[in-house]
Amino acid sequence: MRLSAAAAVAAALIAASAAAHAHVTLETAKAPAGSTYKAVLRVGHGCKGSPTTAIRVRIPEGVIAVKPMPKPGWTLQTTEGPYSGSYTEHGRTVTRGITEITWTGGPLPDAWYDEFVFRARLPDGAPGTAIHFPVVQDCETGAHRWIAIPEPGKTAADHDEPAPAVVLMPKP
Amino acid sequence: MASLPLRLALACALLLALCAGARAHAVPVEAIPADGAVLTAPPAAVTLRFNEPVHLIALRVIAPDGQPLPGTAEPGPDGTVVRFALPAGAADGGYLVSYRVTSADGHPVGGSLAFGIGTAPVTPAGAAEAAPLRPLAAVLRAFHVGGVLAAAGGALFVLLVPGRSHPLAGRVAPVLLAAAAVAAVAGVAALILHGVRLGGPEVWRAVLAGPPARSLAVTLAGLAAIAAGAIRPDRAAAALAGGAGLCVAAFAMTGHAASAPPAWAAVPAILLHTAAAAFWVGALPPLAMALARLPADAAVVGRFSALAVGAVGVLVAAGAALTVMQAGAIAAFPGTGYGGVWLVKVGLVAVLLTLAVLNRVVLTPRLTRPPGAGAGALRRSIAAELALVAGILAATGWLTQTEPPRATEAAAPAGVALTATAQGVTAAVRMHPGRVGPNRLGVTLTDAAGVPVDAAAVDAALSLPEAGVEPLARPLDRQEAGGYTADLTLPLPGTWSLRLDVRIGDFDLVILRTDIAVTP
Repeated sequence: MRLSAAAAVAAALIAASAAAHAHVTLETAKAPAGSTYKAVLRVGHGCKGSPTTAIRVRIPEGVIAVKPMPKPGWTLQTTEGPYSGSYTEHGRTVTRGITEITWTGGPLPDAWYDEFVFRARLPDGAPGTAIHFPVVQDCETGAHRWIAIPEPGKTAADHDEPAPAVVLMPKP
Repeated sequence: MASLPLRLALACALLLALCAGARAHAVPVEAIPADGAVLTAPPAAVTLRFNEPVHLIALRVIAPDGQPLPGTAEPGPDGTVVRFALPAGAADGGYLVSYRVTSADGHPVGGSLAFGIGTAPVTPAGAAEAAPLRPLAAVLRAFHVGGVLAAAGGALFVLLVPGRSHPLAGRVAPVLLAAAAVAAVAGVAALILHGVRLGGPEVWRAVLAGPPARSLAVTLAGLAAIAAGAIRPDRAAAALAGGAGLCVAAFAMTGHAASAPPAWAAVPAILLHTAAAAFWVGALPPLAMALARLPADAAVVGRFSALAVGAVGVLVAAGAALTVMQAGAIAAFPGTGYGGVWLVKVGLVAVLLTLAVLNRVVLTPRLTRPPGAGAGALRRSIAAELALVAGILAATGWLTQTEPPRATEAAAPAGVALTATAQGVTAAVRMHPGRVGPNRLGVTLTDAAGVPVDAAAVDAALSLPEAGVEPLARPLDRQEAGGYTADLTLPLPGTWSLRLDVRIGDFDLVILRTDIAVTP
């Protein structure tokens, strides 16, 4: 029994440290609903030692007015497409926009850290709603898919590769 | 004598309690080569890594020819690794690695994994068990069945033919005792062998709680009653009759035949078949004794002869009914191993019946004419019958070790089938055979309209929370649009939690969960 307790503690420690260091996450974890949000994706490692060669972000439905920040040494590409709904931006109705951002280049060695930035307007959701930005991290060898969106009752800690998320706060 | 079943039951209960107490298990976390790996060249060694230090009990690597490779496994320095060096020049083909360790808490854990050199890892021929054990199991079974039939049938014979007060009953007593002893020893040995073949201590709980053990307990109780009755046959008619009844009833509790559908027909058929066979087999030794005391016992032989006709009719009719139930499809019968052994048994029975007819029509009537004239011929005929019975019992023992066509036919669609739905994706999940050991996980994905979902990747994670087994991750292979499979080994029984990560395109992950009951 003592051994299994020790194992549980060790597993918890490993899980905690993994959550702190390993995932691709958003620097700002909370933001007001409907606000303009500066998303900073933090990339702390490659794929099992292999350097990162691309970061791809899928923009979720309801997030509009997306403007990615170019990055020296990386080629920026965006994919535009129709939205499922229609949204109002500065008095205009928008029905399409950027749905995917890709930075290609680097390579970013496994031992180094970097950030990938874009700006977007968050939806008018209820406070506490999590907005997930699924990210694919391509490496010279292999890839990480930070795309798991926790099921109801589960948290990001239940997944090996959770999608980066921002939680909506009440409008100011 | 009667306390033996009680003691056995107590031992079972104690073992059950001990097994139920243990919880935490060592779990294999890495295998090199991995389960299901296809290698181009023989690996230098098979290496298993566990999540905690383990004590190695056994590790066998079974070559494509079904024989274990020579050599022994070496534990690693920190106790979490077990290594088996492969001899140089290992042949191409499928290999099975079967291991058994105990973890720190003393709980045994076993499992197996397959890999292939130059080919897909198919389970080697006869790899599920060591080759010499199967004939041994058949022999033990034959001795057990023969002993039980001789004891139960002898008891029936004493009651029905000469009568329990007849002097012959006293002379038969040593035969009954010897038969009961042989049956008990062979039965217990067969059960132990059954446990050994299934894989060792881990499965003892299942073995001792299973139908074979229950059947054996009933048989042992019956044998004890017969033995007690045989000592004083004139006073213990109830013990003889009850013991014979228990022995016959025990046959309906286990085995391929007892599990053949429909049960309402199979169970009475087995009871009748066994009772008639017991009467016949059990009568032969007392008959031989009666023939030694002619003409005093000539009436006994005549009386048996009259009863035997009815018994043979019941035996053949019930046997035919059982055959039809076991065969499933008659057309598939001759080609199977089961069919081959069955044909041998039926051939021997046909010769035996011919002898019985000869005895009845020609030899028995001769006994009464010039006193004792036909006794020699009849004794020889009975000796031949006993030899034939031995052959039939051997064939019956082998039949119990051969899967009937019913089982082989049913094997394909069996297993566990479930569905899980999330985010509009439905997964039909099949785990075959749904038992401990190698399994095939099959997943069919459809959307709300029933159209196959062509996922980019499907990953399964299987965990057994009740035993503290952490998720065992396996990618599934795409067989067709919407159809995915993985071959995996489930080391423990219980309710496994299955999580399916279904990736559609680059960014969408659908997570499906279901529980799968895995039987020992």
